[in-house]
Formats: sequence, C-alpha cells, structure tokens
Amino acid sequence: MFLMVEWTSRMGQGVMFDLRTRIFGNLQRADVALYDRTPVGRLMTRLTTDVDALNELFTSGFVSLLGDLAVLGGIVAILYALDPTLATISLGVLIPMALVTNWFRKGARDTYRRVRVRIARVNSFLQEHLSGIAVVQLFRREEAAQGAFRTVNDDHRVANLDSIFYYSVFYPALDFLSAVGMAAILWWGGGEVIKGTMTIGAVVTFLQYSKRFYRPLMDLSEKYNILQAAMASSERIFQLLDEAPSIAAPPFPAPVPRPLRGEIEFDGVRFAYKPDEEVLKGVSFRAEPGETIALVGATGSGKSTIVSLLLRFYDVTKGEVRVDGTDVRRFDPSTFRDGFGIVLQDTFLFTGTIAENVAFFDPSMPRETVERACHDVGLGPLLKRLPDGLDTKLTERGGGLSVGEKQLVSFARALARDPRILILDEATSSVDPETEAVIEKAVDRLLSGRTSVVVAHRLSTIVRADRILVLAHGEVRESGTHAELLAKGGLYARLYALQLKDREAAA
Amino acid sequence: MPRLVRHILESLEKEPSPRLIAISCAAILGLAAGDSILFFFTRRILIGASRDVEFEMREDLFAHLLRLPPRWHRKSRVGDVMSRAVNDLSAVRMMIGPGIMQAANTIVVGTIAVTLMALASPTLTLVALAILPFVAVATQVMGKVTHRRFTAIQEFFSEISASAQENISGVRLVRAFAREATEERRFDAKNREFRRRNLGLARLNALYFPMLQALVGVGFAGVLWVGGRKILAGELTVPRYVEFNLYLMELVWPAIALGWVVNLWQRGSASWNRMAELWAAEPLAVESAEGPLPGGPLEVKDLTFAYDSGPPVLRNISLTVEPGTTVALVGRTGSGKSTLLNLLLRLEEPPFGTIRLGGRDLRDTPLPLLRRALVAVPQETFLFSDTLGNNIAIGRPGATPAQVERAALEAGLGPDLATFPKGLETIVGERGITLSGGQKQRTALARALLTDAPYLVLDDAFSSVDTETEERILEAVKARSGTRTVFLVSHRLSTIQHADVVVVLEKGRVAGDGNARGASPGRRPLRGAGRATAPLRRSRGGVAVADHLPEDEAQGRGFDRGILRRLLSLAVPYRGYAGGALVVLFLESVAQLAGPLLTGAAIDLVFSSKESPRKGAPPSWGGSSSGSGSSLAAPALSTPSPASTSSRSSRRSGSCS
Repeated sequence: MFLMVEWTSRMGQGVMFDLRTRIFGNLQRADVALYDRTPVGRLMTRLTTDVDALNELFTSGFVSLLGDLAVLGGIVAILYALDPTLATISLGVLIPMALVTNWFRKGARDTYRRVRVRIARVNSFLQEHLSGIAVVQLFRREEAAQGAFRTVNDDHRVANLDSIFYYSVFYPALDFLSAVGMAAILWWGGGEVIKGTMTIGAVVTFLQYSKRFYRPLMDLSEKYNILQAAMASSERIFQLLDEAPSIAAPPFPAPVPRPLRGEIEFDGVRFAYKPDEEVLKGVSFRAEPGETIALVGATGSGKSTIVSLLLRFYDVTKGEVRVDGTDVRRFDPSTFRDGFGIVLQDTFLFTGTIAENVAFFDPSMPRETVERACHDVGLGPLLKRLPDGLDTKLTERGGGLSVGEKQLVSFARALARDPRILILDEATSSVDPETEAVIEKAVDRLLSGRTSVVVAHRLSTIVRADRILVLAHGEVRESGTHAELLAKGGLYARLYALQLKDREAAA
Repeated sequence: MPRLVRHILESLEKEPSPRLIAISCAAILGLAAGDSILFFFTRRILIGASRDVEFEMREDLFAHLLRLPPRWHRKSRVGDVMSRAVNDLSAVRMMIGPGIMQAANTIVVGTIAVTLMALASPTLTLVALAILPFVAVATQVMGKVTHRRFTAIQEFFSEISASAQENISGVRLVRAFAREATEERRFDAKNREFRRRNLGLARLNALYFPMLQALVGVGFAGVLWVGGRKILAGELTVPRYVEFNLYLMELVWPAIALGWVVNLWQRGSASWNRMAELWAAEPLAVESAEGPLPGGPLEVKDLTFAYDSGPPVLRNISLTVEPGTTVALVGRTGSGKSTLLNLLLRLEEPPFGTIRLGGRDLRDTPLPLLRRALVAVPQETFLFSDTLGNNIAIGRPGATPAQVERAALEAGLGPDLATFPKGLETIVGERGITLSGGQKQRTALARALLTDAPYLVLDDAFSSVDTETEERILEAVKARSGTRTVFLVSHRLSTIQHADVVVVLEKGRVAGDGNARGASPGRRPLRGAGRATAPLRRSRGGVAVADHLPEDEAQGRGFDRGILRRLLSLAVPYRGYAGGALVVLFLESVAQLAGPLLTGAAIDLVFSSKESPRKGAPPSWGGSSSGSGSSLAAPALSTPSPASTSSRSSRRSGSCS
C-alpha cells in the first residue's frame, strides 16, 4: 500500500517536473511575438495551475482506475463461479446504475463547465475592478459595479446549485440501488438457503462482494471529472508546447565571427507587427565599426522596432539586416546575441545580488570583471556605501535602489561582457542632477570603442553621436550630425526646439 | 439495516421462513429509500447553504472593498487581495459546507453506530474502540506535520512562480544577453526542490493512510479474535457478530473523515483570519451625492503634507485658483505635483483647514459631491473590458450615443474610431483590443469631458500623445469648457503654454508662479521632462490580445483521444513506478477478492460445526477460528484503500471541488 502511493506520487511529481521543465525551456525559445500577444499571467497559469491539474490524474487516476477495473472483473468472475443465477440477479442492479451514472456524468459535466466559466467571470470581474478601483471611485461607480458584480456572482451560485442537484441525486440514488441489490441477494439467496441449495456463508459472501462491487462504479464517475479537468489543462499546455518558434537557428548556421567587427547594415527593411500596418517602411542605414548612431523621433516612429530587428526578436518582412556582412537570419540567434550588450529603457533587474545581476547569473564571469564594470559606470560610491557592497540583495525588480542606481547597474551589466555592439534604449525618467552627471559619464564610457545604436532621449547623448537618424512614421527622414541637422532647419530642428531644448536649458 | 440482516440470518439459522425474509427485504428497501431521500436533502440544503453563504460573503466583501479609501488600495497589492477574496473565501466555504456536513455526519453516525454496537456486544465494542486513541494520536501528529510541509510547499511555490514570472517579464533581456541556458539551469534547480518538497508531503500521505488502515485492521482483527472465541463459547451468535461487523464498517469512514474535517477546519480558520484582515480596514462613510455642486474659488492655505511618518512631501503650499482659470503645475519628478493633485481629489486626505473649495473645507464636502465636481484624467488610464463607448460614459451613465461621440471627437479620438472595427462599440481592455498609450489617454480624456464637472484635473494626461494632437485637443477643451477650472501637470512646454497660471513646485514648495506666456518658464527647473516611461514590452496598437477568452479556457474540448495519448506518453519515463504500483494494486485486489470468499467459508464452517457436539471442541478449532479470524479481517482490512477513501470523501463533499 505504502509502496503504491509512493510510486504513483513519484510518477505524478515526475510528470509534473518534466512538464514544467519543458514549458519553461519552450518559453526560453519561443518567439518574442508570443510575449506581445500573451499576458504574463496566462503564461504563468500554463506553468502552474495547468500543470497541477494533472497531478491527481497521475497519482490517483490512471493506476487506481486499472485497479478498479481489475477488481470489477475479478468479482464478476467469482460471483459467476459461485452461483450463476444469484450473480445475474445481483448484477441486474447494474443496469439502472449505469443509467443513473450516465445521467449524472452528462449533467455533472455540463454544470461543471458552467461553474468553471462563471467562476472565471467572477474572478476576472474582481481582478479588473480591483485594478481599476481608482477609476471606479473617482467616477462614483461603486453602486453600478456592485450591481454588476451581483449578477455575475449570482450566476455562479445558480450554476453551483445546479451542480449540487446532480450530486445530491446521484450518490443517494446509487446507495439506494446498492440496497436494492442487497435486498435482492438476501431474498433470492434466502430462498435458496431454505431450499438447501445454498449455504449461509455463500449468501454473506455475495453480500460482501456486492458492496465492494458498487464502490468502483461510483469512483469511475469521480475519475471522469479528474480526467476532464486534466484534459482541458493539458490541451492548453500542449498548445503552448506545440508553438514552434519561427525565429530559430537555420539548419546550417553561419559561424558568428569572434569577436564581431561590429558593422551593422539595414537594407530596405520593411516590417509590420500586423499584416496591414507597416511600422518600418523601407529603412536603410549603415554603421561602421565603432560608430554611434542615435535614433530620434516621436513615439511610434519605429525606433524601438529597429532595435528589436537588429537583435532579431522579429524577422523583417522585407529587406535585410546584416551584421558583419551576414544576414542575421543565417546565425543561430542565441550565439549571435551573445556579442551584444543591451540596456533597455525599462531597467529590469532580477531578484538576487548586485553582482549576480551584473554577471546575469553567469557563474563563469570572474569577480574582477564584475567589479571593474561597476567601477567603470560609476557605481563605486554606492557600493562603498552599502554594507554588503556587491553582494547586496535586490528585491523584486531591483527594489531598494533608486531609479538612477538601477540604470547604472543595468549599464554595468551590459559593460561587463565587453560587447562589440551596444544597444542603448535610454530611460526617459528624470533623475537628480548629480546622478544625471554620473549617468552621462557612464553613457560615454559605454559607447566608446564599440558600435552603438542608441534610442536617445538625452541631448548629451544625441550631440555626441556620429550620426543622428530622425525617424517619422517608419521612415528615416533626416540623417546627419547634430550641427548639420540643426542647420538644415527640418524635422530635427523642430523637435529640438519643442522638446530637447527644454532639457538643455535645464541641464 | 445491519440489524435486519441479522434477523434474516438468524431466521435462516433457526426457522427458515420466506415471509420473514420478504418482510425484512422490504424493510431494507424502505430504510434505504428513506436514507437516500434524507441524504439528498441534507446534501442539498447544507452544501446549497454554503454556496449561499459564499455568495453573500463575496458580495459583502466586494462592497466593502469598493468603499475602502483609495489610500488603502494603493498600499495593497491586487494579487494579494485577490488571493484572499478567491482562495481564502473558498477555504472558508469548504469549512462551513462540506466541513460542517462531514463533522455532523461523523458525530451522528459515530454515536449511533457505537450505541448500536454496544447494544449488540459491549465487550466487542470496547475491543473495537481500543484503537481510537492511536488513531487520534496519529491524526494529530500527521496533521501537524502535514501543516508544516504544506506551508513549506506553498512558500516554495510562491518562490518558483515569482522567479518564472520574472523570467517571463524580462524575456527580452534574457534573449538579448543570450542567457536562456543559465535561466533554464536556475529554474531546474528550483523545480527540483519543488518536486522534493511535494514528494515529502506525498510520502506522508503514503504513510498515513496505510497506517490508518493497519490500525483499523488491528481493530477488526481484535474484534474477530474476541468475537470468534465468544462464538465458540456460545456467548455470541454468528448473525449478531455479522451485525456488529457491519456497524464497525460504518464507523471506519467517519473515523477517517475526522482527519479530513480537522484539516478543513484548520485551513478554513486560517483563511478566515486572512479575510478578517480585509474586513478590519475602515471603509469610507456613505454620504449622499445630492445637493448643489461645489463651485467657486479653490484655496489652498499653508498646506503641509507627509505620507505616513515620512518627510513632508509638500510644505507650506498656499495658492488661490479663481474659477475658469487653467493652472499648470510643473516641477521635476518627486516635487510633489501628483501629491497635490491627489489631495485635491481626496485620494489622500488633506489636513483639515488646508484646502477649501467654494469656501467649504474639502474634508467637510461629501465625497460623492466632490467626485461629481472634480473629474480627473490620471497618469495611468484604466480601461474596463467593455465597449469603448461604455468606457467613456463611465462618469455619466445616462449619456446618449451622440454625446459620447462628441466627447470622443473632442478628445481627438476621431481618426482612431475610424480604424476600429465597430467604432464606439468596439470592446477594449483585457478581453478586447489593446489600445495604444495615446489612445488610452484620449479615452480617459473623453471620459472626463463627457461629465459636467466644473473642475478638470489632467495629471500628465498627454504624455503619450504627440505634440500636434495635444495642441488640437487642448484647443477643443478650452473652446468647450470656457468656465471650467483646469489643473494640469505636464513636462511639455507646449502644454504649459496653454495655462493662465504656472505653479512651479520644487521639493514640495512653491518655487514660483506667474503668467505662462509672460514669464519664461523655460528657465524654470523643468529639466528631465520625464514623459511617462513607456515600457518596451508594450502591446502594439490594435493587436488583439485575447484571441481566446479566459472563460473559454476553463472549458476545453472535452474528451480527445490524441490528448489522452500524449498525456500517457508523458508517464513513459516513469513506467517503472507505474508498473510497480500496478503490481502492488493487483496483489491488494487479490487479497480484497479473497476476503469475502474466506469469510463465507468460515461462516459455513461455524454453522456446520454447530451440528457437531459442542463440548470439547477439537484442537483444530483454535486453528480454524484464527484462520477464519484473519480471513474475516481481510475484507475489513482492505476496506479503506486510499483511492476509495479519497473518492468517498469527495463523494460526500461532492461538488465542493
């Protein structure tokens, strides 16, 4: 007994472990586009709740189902061997039992689904209104929200009451039918005993077997529900696992030059997230090794898209992106990206120490490299101030550090790997003047000596660039240095007058 | 019922009478029918009542949450509140529904069975109950250990989900740094630990139930041993013994269920405490929304404000705003602009006597009236999963479609509406199309414009709208709301130029104010015109996120052979365990099957032995009685297999899962 439970749990836990590993591994390889269209919560559900739903199926479902069937078969055989007539009589109850079970199975399945759908509605309503509580309160929608909630909540209750009805009928009905079976055995068996054709012991044997017989039948309907839930979950899991990444290594990937020279070329690049909405409409530019290119333009002009295409988060719709003269689609994406350093606008740090974040959990990175990178971006004073220095633990999303400090850590993270190509998506949030000065120096340190593509918001960064690309509506409208573009009096000059100058004045 | 069985057996033994058998059988049926009907009603009423209570609790809780002050909501995390309102609520329901039903069942069945057993044979009852203390101790110990291990699993579960969530949220970074392999390794380590902890709990169950079964088995064996001897000594008849045994079997389940009930109560009361924490928060007072709207000048006098015990965020602010003026609040991040707006909106409570609206202290103005008078466009817009039109009409539910459309056009949503599949009827939000940041902000603006509120608060409401569009919208707003008082926060010079008065905040103090067009606010500390940071991972305009609704997710397609085959293939690496378990199960089944057969044989043996001279029973008796003992014990021993107990538990608790 102990062994059985132990082994089935090992199997169940093993299957769940494997599935989690596979889902997580799949998520590491899936297209970035998947993350654009799927909320984080939903992916998390795949990894947690859906996997858990399989537990019961493997630990108590499959194996005991087979056991139940074996017991049923055995009992039927024994009963017939003992007394075929009485066996037929006692098994006669099975017909109404099967009918009742079938009725229950259908009803319970439908109501079960209804309950699930409605509880999902209740929960998403709650989630939504808690997230938007400020709007609800500001616009005095409390009464209305409460009324709407009453409706979804009541729908859920009604569905539950329906489902209770099926359960309340089913189990007593089965109990009653099994009593009928018992009575039949006693009545017929008793008669036989009087006639002397049967012993009392045989009747008792029959009674006991019939009790044992009905129980697995009840279990079967229970198991059906487990199976139902497991199927629904696994269908969703398999859907995710079947999602083949379109951005993957070609069969014979081109070798990635080590080190990269750092030559970037966009050649007539067109790109659309959605078929009929082009975000880039034929962008061409070239960055020589060591050059700094600043991308400037309004929100939605395509700056971030250029960065994403360069890293091959997406594949171009038309044209080519070349690095060191080779189409990026010919590389193994992971090996290829290894030569890049990137700083995202949203400075995302992981739970762990500062050192772990700078090394990005790479145990092979020497401590000196981490220290040097931190020092180079100007984190020195901060680290001295912190009692644990580099080993200071950061909470979720880098909590505990200021915005500016977080940016510096993300700079160090990019610098530590001494990348040949650096991508910097500057954060727009403002920091105090002292930090600003440190960051400007750090940016300078980051950009020097490597090819850089910068989505720039800082005037200092823009002015420093070898070339500025001014983007509007998915096209490169102007290109040149700060002085050239100002002199030209075009889009850039307007942008400068409207937005950038403020910052200069303030700086 | 066991008593009837006994009568039948007795009659068979002494004076076989078909009539008695028929009557008894009819009585059995009658009793069973009565029992079934009662069972039906208990179940329906008790579980149904628990659903009603759940409904009420959920409704009250939501109403309570709606009326908690904004400040409380800002401090709590939605995920945490949700888990209390969902998981804890359901644990409490389990406690009052199936928990009570089962507890009652255990007590009633237990008392009756024990009484009847005592009537049938006091000695045997004592023997049978001798195992109870052991069962109690085992349940107690197991309960404690389970609790500990369960908590350990829950804690680790949070950890593993948090780290996976972090990985998913930071997916671009992971890719860009090519850290996929490291991330997989890190996850693997956590995954392993999680499996280890889960197995720890599973092993406990694997120990507990067989142990319970063994204890019960010992009880049955004891009963058999003593009972067998009594039968031999002529102190007990076989039918009486069978009756006793049937009662005992009725008792097995309540004994096991007791552990389950204790568990339910423990979890339910823990959850109840967590929910009580929500209830402990003080809601806002209910005030009437009737009465004249506040109007007139807004005066701020010597306002100093700090969050909790922190340093003051605003210091000695004083300003007066005449009706109909547009005031721009400028200053860098952290200078106190948003705090000032929040105080005006009473999202935070200002100290008494510091802010007056139309001559009346803001704290004395009924909140519903204030909310009608002041309408805000916050930095971050929240859209509900509803049509765009309904989202706009949120502040004025009775608005006609024409009014809604006008507001939408004024807010500059015209060009966007043309691209939406159903115009204003398009569903937006989580379950509809995703709007871009700019579209969201304009929707929020339309929301505000639709109301007739005399005060409009725009908290950096154009950060995602390009300057030219912003220009047009502001013109429209000014043209329409000549008499409105407008407060706006912005980092853009172009926006600020629309203001009649510019108030510059610096470190919580008013650094200067003046006419925007006259003075040169460019010289003011406006640096770091931090537009709302748009996260890189943003949904592109108009991309439908919800290709399938979460509701559909709950359903699935139902039975599908392909999926089943794939599911089974997952277990292939563990076929050794499955095979082993099957072998054990098979052995157990054989033992189960053999039980009744042996019992029957033993009974026949006893009956036939009665015909032989009773005195000086042959020595073989002892052997055969102990033989029959073990065989009689066999069915009882194998009665509560974990599969059947779990299914029985769910059978009684039924739809609760």
